[in-house]
Amino acid sequence: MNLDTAKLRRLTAVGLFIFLIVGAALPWTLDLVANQRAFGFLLASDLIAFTMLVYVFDRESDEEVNWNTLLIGCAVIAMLVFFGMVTP
Amino acid sequence: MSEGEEKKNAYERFVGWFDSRFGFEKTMLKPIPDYSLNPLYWLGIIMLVTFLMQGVTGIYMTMNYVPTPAEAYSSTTYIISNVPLGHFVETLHLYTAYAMILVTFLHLARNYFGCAQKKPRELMWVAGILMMFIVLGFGITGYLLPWTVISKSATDVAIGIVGYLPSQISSFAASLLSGTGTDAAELTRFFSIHTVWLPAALIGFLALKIYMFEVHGPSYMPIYGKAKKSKIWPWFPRVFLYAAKLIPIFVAILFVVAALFPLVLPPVYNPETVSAYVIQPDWYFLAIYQVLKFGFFESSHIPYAIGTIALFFVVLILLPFYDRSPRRNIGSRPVYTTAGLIALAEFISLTIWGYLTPGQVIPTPVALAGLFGVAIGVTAVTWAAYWIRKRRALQHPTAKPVLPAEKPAPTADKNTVPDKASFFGLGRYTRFTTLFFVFLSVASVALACLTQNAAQATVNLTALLVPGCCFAFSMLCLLWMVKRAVVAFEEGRIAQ
Repeated sequence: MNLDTAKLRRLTAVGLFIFLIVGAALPWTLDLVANQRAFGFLLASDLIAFTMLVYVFDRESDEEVNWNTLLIGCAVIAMLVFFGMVTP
Repeated sequence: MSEGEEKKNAYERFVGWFDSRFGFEKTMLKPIPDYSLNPLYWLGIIMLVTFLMQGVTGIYMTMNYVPTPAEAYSSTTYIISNVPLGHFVETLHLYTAYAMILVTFLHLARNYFGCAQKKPRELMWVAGILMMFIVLGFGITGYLLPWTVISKSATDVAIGIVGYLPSQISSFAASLLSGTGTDAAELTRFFSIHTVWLPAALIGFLALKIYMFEVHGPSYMPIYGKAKKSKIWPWFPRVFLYAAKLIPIFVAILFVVAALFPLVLPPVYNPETVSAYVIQPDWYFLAIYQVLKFGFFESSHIPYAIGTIALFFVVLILLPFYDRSPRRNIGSRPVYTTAGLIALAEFISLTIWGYLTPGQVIPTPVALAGLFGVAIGVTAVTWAAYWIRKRRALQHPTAKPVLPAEKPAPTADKNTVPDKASFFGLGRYTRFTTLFFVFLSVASVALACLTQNAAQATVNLTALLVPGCCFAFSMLCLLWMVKRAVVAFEEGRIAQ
């Protein structure tokens, strides 16, 4: 598959959108008395995903998307999800 | 889709769907220039976001909080232990309050150094200062509500200070804050002020400020603006999407901080155990608290301390009415820039000094040395920058000025294509300013510690060396930064 920038951007957007939906629903399945810190981390990761989704779309041309920024965003999301999983 | 209509992508269809239903593009707020798509222009909106978060988390807590001395603490612990998300919401309420106060201070500093108070925005400045008092009022009144030993005792100290005001004011203020003087009356009044009066007042001022912002638009600040022609963006979708990136990141940071550092409630208030604790206000009042602890303001001289603090705020609120010069650039305003930096450095150093010396009265010589030391240090650094600028200008008459020259706001040019922006438009100026303030803060704190330690009866060499080295290093860094900035401007590496 030829992953040109436009297609890669679209794939990223779809991935982020799926994470956004899952991430928005998942925290509410936790025990909201015992797992409040995890709830905070997961909701924060969802907000970062939302910001990245807006960032991917809020461009006038494909070339303006800074992939390093997206990578940093993904790393932050992964870190927050990790904290959400290990924190009570 | 008609044949003549261009094929739209998913994003355009999505935006178009909303716009065709709500008409945002035509009705929602005035278009704003490209240079204001920078977080430093958005501190007011961030403050509004914190206020909304305060409202949501506060309303959630009021469903379980009972504002009586007997049940305030137990209902707070009940929220923390038993209510779903109660601990998280309680913590978030606290950190959002801190963020609100911090953003208010940053907004004030940014408007001061960017001259946003100049004509025709004088009344926006006055409204902003009054809003700052309301925000600090939120802090005072909210601090008491959990009824902990620290919060109740600190509030009693604050109410006690009101007694030093002229009798006509103090009797009214005392009846407003503590009513009949019982604990129940005090808590009921604080709860009422915190949840009804102050939010109503803040909403009124917010509406006024937003209206005035719509009339005057964002104030152009040469130090932060981009040196190019500015494009005008409509609020929807461009500016709206910028906000949709900025605000969730800010909220996410608050969520992470709340998750990392959950609130730990101090013990319940008990008059018999108060003496075992050192009474300390929250961080935003530590600077004022430190001033009240100075030897020359002790006991009967407290009215003078209150008068001095009140005078500072009067001078601050009247700023746009005596600083009427059209000059807006820090490069051409050495006196106001130096005064602002001194005030900032004094606030930071007094806050940390107050934190490090809880309950200690500061002897007069130490207090004077700390106050004047910070002021002289800041003045020396700032004036060194202006002196280097002047010397370079004399040596190279054709060279560009050291600090950005006075220039009009970029004109709107609809045909100008904006440069490829960084994630939030953070430019060199912002990074330079941030780093400069970091070193300035370290230098101020180190000097305060140095002065404090030097006045101890038994002088510890390590206690002098560490802050001394920090102070010397920070001052060297500040001078180096100033020198680098001078050279960069002279060589034209930093755009005018």
